[in-house]
Amino acid sequence: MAPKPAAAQIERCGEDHLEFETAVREHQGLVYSMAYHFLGNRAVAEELAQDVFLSLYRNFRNIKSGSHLVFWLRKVTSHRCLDYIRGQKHRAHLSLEEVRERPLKHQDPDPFISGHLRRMVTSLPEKARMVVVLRYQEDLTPTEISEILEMPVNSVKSHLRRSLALLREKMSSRLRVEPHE
Amino acid sequence: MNSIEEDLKQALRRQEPPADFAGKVMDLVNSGAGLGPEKRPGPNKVLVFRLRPKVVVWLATAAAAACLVGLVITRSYVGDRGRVEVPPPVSGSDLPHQDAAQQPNADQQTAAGPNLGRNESGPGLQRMGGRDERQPAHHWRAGSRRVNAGTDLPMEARHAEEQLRLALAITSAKLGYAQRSIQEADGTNTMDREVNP
Repeated sequence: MAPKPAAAQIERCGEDHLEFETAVREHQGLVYSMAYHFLGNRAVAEELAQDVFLSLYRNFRNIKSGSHLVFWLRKVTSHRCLDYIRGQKHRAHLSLEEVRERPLKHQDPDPFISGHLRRMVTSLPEKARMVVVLRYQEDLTPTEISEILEMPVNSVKSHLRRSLALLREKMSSRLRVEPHE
Repeated sequence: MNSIEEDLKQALRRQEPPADFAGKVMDLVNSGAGLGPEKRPGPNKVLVFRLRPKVVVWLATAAAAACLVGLVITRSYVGDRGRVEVPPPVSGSDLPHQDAAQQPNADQQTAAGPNLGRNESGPGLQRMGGRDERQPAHHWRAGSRRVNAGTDLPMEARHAEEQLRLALAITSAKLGYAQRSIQEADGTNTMDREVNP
């Protein structure tokens, strides 16, 4: 009886299987965080991250080095996220105006501001959002981002500049209208 | 780096997935679920994606602009060709009458002589006689042809020069032939006068 295609593939991969599991455990935070910060939904992010790792398993023999693996994961994750958003009939993220304005004290701890910032990041346009995620989560330079997203460096810089201005304006306006308690 | 960038770094720091994430992935790999060929958008989906209303509008606008540009280029090309067209050949009947003082040399007379016998008393010479003789030669067909001072001037000038040379040659030959005929006729009359004074 002929073996199942999946079982044959696993058999063929042999020692790659163990390496793949190590790669998953090592880089699951990268993939999951990118998806979560981009999509703003843990369940969808987890599903998308699983999809990325399955894709990695299919292409694991083409990975040449550790840096190549990281580059591949960032690139595939960012493109999967963008494809997911484009495939949605209704935009999953909230607009800036729809972001719930919770009261903010001036001496609020970081977690609150971080949560608010994350919500505002998910309200950015798709490409700008991915640029911001890659810049501030992965700490990549505009040149590295341009290679991953396949866009000109100047576009990356422009996205960054506009996104920062928008976020800064939103934060400052929110602080201005906040009544002092 | 300002505060918002620091806040963003803090907000977007990496987060670990649920504890059983890697186990789920390995289970999927081991079971073979989801390991089929990767899904790619079919041709219909690609077509639908590319033919969104905005794209269609832009395509139609681009096509209309291309047609307009093509039309303008074609028109200007045809206009240029019409301007540099070679004028029709000049016949002797179109030439104005010349003064006898502008006689050509003897070579031109003998070269054009045999061709002029047909027009000796024909309508061509009569028409030539009917023209305004005060009109100078360099005004020939000035009313019917406009000299374009633009880019076609050298070619126009060459055509005009050739036609003028041809016209002068034909005219002088005709005049020479007519003069000889008159002289012969005068000689005959002189003899008649000598015989019958």
